[in-house]
Amino acid sequence: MKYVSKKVLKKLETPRLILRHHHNDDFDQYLEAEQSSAVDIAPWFGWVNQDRGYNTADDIKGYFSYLDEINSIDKPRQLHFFIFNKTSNQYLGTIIFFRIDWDIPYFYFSYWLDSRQSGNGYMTEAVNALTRLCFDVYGAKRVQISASVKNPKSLAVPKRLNFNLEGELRNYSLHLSTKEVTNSLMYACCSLDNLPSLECNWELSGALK
Amino acid sequence: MKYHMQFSNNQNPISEIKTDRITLATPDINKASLIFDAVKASAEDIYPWLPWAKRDISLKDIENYINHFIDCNKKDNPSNLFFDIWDNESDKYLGNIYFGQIEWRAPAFSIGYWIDSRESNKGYMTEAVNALSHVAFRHFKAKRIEISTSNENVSAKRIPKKLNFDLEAEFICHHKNYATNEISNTLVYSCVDENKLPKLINLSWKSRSPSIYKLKQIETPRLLIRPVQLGDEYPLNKAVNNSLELLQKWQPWAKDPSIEATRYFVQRGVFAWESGSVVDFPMVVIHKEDNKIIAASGYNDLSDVAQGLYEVGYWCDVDYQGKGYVTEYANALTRYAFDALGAAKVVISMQVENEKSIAVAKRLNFTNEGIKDRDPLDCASDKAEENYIYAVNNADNLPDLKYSWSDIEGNLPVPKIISWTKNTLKITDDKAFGSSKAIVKTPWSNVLAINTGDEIIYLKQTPIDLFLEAEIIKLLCASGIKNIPQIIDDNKNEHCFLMTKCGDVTLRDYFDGNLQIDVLKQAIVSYKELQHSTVKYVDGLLAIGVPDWRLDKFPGLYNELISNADYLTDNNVTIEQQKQLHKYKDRVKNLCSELATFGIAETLNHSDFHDNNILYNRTNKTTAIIDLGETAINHPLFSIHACIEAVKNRYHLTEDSTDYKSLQQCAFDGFLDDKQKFDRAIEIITLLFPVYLLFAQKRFLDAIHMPFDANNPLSVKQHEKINKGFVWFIKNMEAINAK
Repeated sequence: MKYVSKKVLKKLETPRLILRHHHNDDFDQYLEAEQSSAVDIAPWFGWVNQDRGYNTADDIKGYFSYLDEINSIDKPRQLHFFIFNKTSNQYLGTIIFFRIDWDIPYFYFSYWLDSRQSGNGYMTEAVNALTRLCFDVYGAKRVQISASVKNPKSLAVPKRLNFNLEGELRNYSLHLSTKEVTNSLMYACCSLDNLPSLECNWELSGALK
Repeated sequence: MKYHMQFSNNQNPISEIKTDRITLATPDINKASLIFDAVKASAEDIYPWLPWAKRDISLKDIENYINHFIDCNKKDNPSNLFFDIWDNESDKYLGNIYFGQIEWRAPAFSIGYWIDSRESNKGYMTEAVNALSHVAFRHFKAKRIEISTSNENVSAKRIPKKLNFDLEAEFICHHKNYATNEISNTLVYSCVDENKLPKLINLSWKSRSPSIYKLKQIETPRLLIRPVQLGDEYPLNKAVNNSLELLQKWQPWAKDPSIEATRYFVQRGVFAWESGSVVDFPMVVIHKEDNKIIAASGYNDLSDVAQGLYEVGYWCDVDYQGKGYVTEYANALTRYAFDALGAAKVVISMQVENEKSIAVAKRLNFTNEGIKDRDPLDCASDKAEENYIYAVNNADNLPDLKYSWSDIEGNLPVPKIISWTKNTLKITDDKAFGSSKAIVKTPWSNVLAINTGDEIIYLKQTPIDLFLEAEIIKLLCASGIKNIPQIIDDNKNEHCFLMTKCGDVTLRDYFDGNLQIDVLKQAIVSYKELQHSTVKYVDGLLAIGVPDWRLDKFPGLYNELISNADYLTDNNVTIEQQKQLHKYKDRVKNLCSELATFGIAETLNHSDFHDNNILYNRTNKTTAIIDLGETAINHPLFSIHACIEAVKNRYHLTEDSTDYKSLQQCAFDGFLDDKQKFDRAIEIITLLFPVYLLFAQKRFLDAIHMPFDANNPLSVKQHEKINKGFVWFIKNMEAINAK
């Protein structure tokens, strides 16, 4: 399958959600959500300013221009998808393909959800949808998710989606607030067969800008 | 608090790792063709897993990779660190190994590698991976080392198995074979405990400028601990002598409590810190409240940086004992070793009877590892004495202590000139310069006495604008001038040069307060000879850039100096004084013309000629002139007059004393037969002397780029000299007016 990544996602719809790349208009919503959730996400994400404990508007401006940049190249090393509530249009969280090997291809997911939105299964629904997108559009052979054993909320997502537990990686992740090094579990999905069914529709644009 | 303090690890990149059979070295662009050859020979085997190793790879590609590796290795907190593997015996290139995906904050590493197919199956790569893993644990305090490889890459996956790595997971459909385009699984192996690795004897490594050399100071609630500095000699010696009775009981070095012994300790210590090539780290401990040096400590020469072993030595001025200061600074030094230097072990040792010292180790919760016979000898019996070895492997059980440290900003220039020196002298041993010393260390110049074991050689680094010194010495030597150093080699990029030893001690130190008039006269005579024989090389000296302050240029230079109103105002010369200086223009011109009529040939003048720039050779009883960088071409009597004045003031000679008169006679002998004319010449020299000093001072401050800065005491002091010079000159002129 050639040039798979040139199929750029315009919009992905699930029963409750809309997933898409960022728009500049999302800025205020995003800033508010990230700052409200900073306490929960800072321990696991190095891109949160660790001295301050949260990112400022300037930091996030930088993040948005980084997103502009990666969305304008073919086979980017990362892809970021924003999750919105379909009815309220509220921003809910982000799924990051933070490592992509286009040669195989495989996709390494990470994600975070606005703390105020957790407990509704939104992330499970969103990861399910993007896993389907990876396989059906990008020709993925593999989608993988790992999370610290100290982060059960995050681990629950691949478990619910019937990903295979491939192993426990020792001292693989770092709790950035306590500096504690912890083990991680590696989950992978190598076919859509066991993924819980989900109705989803995507709109693709032909190619890159 | 610095970011890196939050994480206990050592981020100083490794420059070399050595085992019995192989050396892992930082990639070197000069080896590109050897590497190219190996890649070509191995492409068949490595291309499936390393797509860059394509069949049509060019030498240029290899060079680009090497440059990329070199750049990567140089970064702070690099995400990859690359090494080339060499056979110790044959110097053959074996392959490449690297730390990838480094997460410094854990820290966690993955290791990747490839080997020249012609060298495989000999265990080289297993040895290399083992060595790199040991170093990751010991030097970097790794928490995890990962090796991942395709399950189809049979030879690569053998290595983690042999090294007792654990297979943690098989990642399905995670690896691509670039030759067949087939997707395979990745086997993830890891090691989280160094003890699981096979032991490697004779493993050693070097880290590129370890951060300890950047240490400025360590601070605890009551104390500052910092590397020794020139200038610590007297306060430290005072603390030693204050505590002599106690020190001589346990410390063999205290047998000699003289200032010379302390000076040697300090000078040698400064060299050890600056050069980055000697393996002890002497520090002084300062009591914050009264700013007094109360102890010397640091990590002694039983430390072994390569093995992460640091041994702390301690004592304390008796006036400050019983207050827990030793415990406080030993605690801080132990913590710093673990937190900043990635120590594996910190040791304290003491004689089994030294109860006070044992009490410190116990208070710090060090573990007694038993008794060892070791140097130093017992002070009373001169026999090897039994010592307790106390040690800790981490900072976990130390008593709580609030401490911090700070580092020197910017690059450390000295290690560069030391490595140049080693190359020039063809010396490879790291510890070869163990008893070398730093003689002078000012913000603008460094003089190091390099003890190669066979001889003493001086290494001098000057400001760029005074690097002329090397050229001047070379020209003078070539012209057959004796009693000056000889240049062994010079390095324009680092503006430093190596010169032979031409004396044991400066005259000032040799006199030690008691002027020996005959020795000084001998030095002046030899200086006059130097001046005399240089007359015919004046054109050459001017050509290489020695400033021209001859009498025909002197009035012009004076006008230029006093016309620079900003310069005068910056140096607190009042408007009134400036007006006066302008009035004396003509007089300067007339005095110069008059002096010129006496026909004394102008030549090389040392602008800073006094007893501290003359070396004495105790054996041959000869003298030599040093510091020839600050020289100019002008009237020879200026510098001779300067020397006599300096000596007169320093040794309190009165103008009618026999010593002073004989000195004058010796100094001025041979210039002019006509006594009356000569007296007038001296009179003019005396009148113009402050202007001569002003020229010299301006040139010096320009060369060291030291503009006036009220916050820098050194700058204030140097600039005060300028004001003094102008005031002095005005006074001289006013004296004529009075006549």
